[in-house]
Amino acid sequence: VEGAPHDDADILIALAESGARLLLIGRRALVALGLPMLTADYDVWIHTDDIERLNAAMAPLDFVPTRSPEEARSRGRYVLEDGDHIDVMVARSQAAPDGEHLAFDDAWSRRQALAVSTSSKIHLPRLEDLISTKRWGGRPRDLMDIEALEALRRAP
Amino acid sequence: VSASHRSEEERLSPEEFARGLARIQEHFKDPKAGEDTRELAAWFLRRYPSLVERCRYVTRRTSEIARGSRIPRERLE
Repeated sequence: VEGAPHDDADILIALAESGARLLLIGRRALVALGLPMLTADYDVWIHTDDIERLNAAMAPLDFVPTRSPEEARSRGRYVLEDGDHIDVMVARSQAAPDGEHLAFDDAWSRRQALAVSTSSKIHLPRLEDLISTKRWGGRPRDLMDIEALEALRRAP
Repeated sequence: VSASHRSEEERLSPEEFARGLARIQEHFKDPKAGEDTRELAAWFLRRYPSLVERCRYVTRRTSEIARGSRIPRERLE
């Protein structure tokens, strides 16, 4: 599915006002915290019950889900796409290669909020949990991101 | 550029990744480690104080770099 590129403001406001329990993760979360990392897409982690709510909120921007909600729940992820991509993770918990688990409910209970506009806020995992999410990928670029996040975490 | 970028995307073995994590922990034993990153973040937050501005900047730069280097879009996800 290919559409015109969206303004980031439109994507962020739609995500923030979707009503879904949603955490911004991936490199956009690093950007949110002040780290200018290259990325083309958005990654979010949502509560498994909130797929329909998120899809409905993104539909006015012409984002189309690649999987039905049932299929997304069973596979643990799907993509909202319209030229731009929003990777949506819906797993109740996720394990790093070393077996360390992070549950959505725990990350959600410790979330931090960032203003998108005067009336909208989007949520991110706390710094320690965001570092945990970067361990899931197991790639060299994830190590780069972890090092950058550790630098922020150790700020005096 | 594309070759080094491709290597950044390849999944490491759990042992390789664990070694990478251990290197990071070792690096941060130096109390000054990460100062450059913190300074960069402070500049970025001053230059682009809102989340929307920061995301727009990154989207624009990523698009420019991808066009210039012919990095496939999916490798910048």
